[in-house]
Amino acid sequence: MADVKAVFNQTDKNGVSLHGHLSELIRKLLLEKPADALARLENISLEVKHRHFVAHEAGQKDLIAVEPPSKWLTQSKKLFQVDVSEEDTGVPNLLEEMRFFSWAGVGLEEEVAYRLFLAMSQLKANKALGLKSVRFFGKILGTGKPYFVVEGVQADPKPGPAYSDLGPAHPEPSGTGLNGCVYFVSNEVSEPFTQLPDVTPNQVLAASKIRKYFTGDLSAPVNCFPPFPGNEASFLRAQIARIAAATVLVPVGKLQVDDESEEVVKPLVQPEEYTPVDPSEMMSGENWCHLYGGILAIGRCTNPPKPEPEDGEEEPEEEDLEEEVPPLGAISEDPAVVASEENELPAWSFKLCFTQNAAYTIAVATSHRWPGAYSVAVQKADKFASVYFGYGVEYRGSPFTPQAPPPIMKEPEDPEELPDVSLANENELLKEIDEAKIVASNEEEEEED
Amino acid sequence: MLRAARPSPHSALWCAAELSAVTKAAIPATTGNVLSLAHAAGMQSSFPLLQKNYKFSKVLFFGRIMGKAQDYLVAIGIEDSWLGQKKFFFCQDGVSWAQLPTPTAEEKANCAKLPSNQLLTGDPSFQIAVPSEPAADEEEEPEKVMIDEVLRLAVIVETIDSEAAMAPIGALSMGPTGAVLGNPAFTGIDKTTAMSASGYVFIHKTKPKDALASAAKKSLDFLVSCDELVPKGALCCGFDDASSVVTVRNLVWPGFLAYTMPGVAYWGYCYFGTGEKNADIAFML
Repeated sequence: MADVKAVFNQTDKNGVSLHGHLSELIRKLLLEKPADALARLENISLEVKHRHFVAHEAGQKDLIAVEPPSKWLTQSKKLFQVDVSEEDTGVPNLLEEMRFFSWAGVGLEEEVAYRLFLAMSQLKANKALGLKSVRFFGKILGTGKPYFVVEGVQADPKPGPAYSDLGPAHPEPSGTGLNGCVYFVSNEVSEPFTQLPDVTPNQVLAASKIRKYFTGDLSAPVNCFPPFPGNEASFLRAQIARIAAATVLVPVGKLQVDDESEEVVKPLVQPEEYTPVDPSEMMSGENWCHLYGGILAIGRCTNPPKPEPEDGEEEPEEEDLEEEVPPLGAISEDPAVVASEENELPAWSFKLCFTQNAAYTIAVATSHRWPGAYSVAVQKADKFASVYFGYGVEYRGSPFTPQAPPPIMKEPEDPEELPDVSLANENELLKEIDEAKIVASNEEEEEED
Repeated sequence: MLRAARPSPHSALWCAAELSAVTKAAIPATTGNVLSLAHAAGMQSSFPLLQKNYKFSKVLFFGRIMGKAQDYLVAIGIEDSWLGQKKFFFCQDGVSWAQLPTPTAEEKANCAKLPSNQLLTGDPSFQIAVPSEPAADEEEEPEKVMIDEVLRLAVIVETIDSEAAMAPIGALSMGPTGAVLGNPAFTGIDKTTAMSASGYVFIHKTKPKDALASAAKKSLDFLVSCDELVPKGALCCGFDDASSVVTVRNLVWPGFLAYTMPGVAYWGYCYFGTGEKNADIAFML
């Protein structure tokens, strides 16, 4: 009996034992004498128990984890303090453009678009960058954070040498060809933008051979085969160059090459007379043209200039060069993405939106080669814009077949065995060498004397 | 009598609230996709109507499937259970919805024979021929099987919905009858969980039944975790500071987007794409 009592006398962390609890319970029942004592037994027991409950720990207060404010929160304020008082024509009305694009089914959230507009104004106002105009190129998604890409045209590009020993692999100097524009990227609109390096022809060619998602980190390596010469920043720049060359469109006749200009790269200017065509005519590729020149098989827009022959050298022989594709080429020339008997997917398709009133009708060109590339033209308002929203991956119309690795090297040929040199022959050879050394040192001494 | 301010799950208000996630909160805009004003305006009136006419408990916006010339908008009508019979609807203008047919196994097999680069045309009355197997010399050429574009659309939508549809862990619960309903006790998941694939489950992939599991486990832990998606890394989570919404993109189905707001019982998914599965993902990650 004593043993059993000892068991019941064990106390819990509130200092109450079962024996104590039961005595207290019975005492309460005797005092109160409830009519439904049996039915309420458990409840009364709980009541008694709660009397002894001691809260050892304070209630949990930090239910919501306190995180430090993110970069976005702390940096956003800077955007709104941009001084844009200076009258500026180089920044397009992004908000209006996004309204047009929303009819095509793509766009940015309005608040993001406004922040981006501020960021673009900031870039344009930055005198160190020396930009003539900026444009929102698009948003490129990756496995991690996205890239917002802003395209800028430099007012006074500093071109490097036009050619070197590299030949066609020499990058095009700044301000020409694929390096005609500079590109700024940022993971977040409110964070500072980073300028991407100029693209080289090798990078353009390598980028067209691989299919890869971006990671969202500019310094990340590009793990692929065939190897890509550079990190993700270069890869991004190469894909942007390819997308820009293929998908930035303007209505035909809106711009023309300034033939009178004496610059090497003749600028595009607005002609004096331009009458926008009827929106319904924008349903054909004849009335849209590429803003930039096409990319050649050597990974450049322009053929490399020939080095001037030095005196006494013969003129280098004429090489077979691919014909350059000048800017403002009609998109009806673009090859179809898929062209087979049963299935045809053209490079572009067109549609009209908001057709209730011809004055507001928006013509949309959708690229199938670069899904996510859209161009809009509002003919009556004389407005046009292009944008890209996507993963920066080309649509080829067929499953991707990676390039096969190079063939395995053959076993080297066995080296031929030579007979051992006999000791007598070896000694003779060593003796000759030693004698030659002595003769040489003697001669040196004589000369010093 | 005063009514609760919060819309009951069966009211038209609720339906509009779900829709505004796509149109007003512009969650798909994080991937660059938005609904045009004409479609968004049309759906504001046509969704509640669809719900009333078919007596659905919920009408959800599924997404937009791009065709060569025109796009299709797709909506899901949920009668009772998330796992049971769903009805899919399509339209091109946001207003005149038509029900998609339920494809049979044979029709699905026929669709699978089509080459992968065969995009939808955008014309619902279009018919496409299934490439026939080359007949032996003496045999007669078999009759060409034609597939309606609407049927293809139905197969695409059903495949994406069954393979990719996902929900935050704990958002759905299975009742004793086997019906899968929204869990009324769900109060959202925290941000760390929301930012990892293991914080989500595939709505259409049930775990094998475990007879020994407790009732609570059976009713809450009955779906396969998104962590098990192959290849690893195909689910990309991102946090949008401006709207405090976590978005999850599924790169196996580029264009698929699931979203949830950490700490709030607010979640959903949508799809904006061509309806093609990414066959090259092995090379791209």
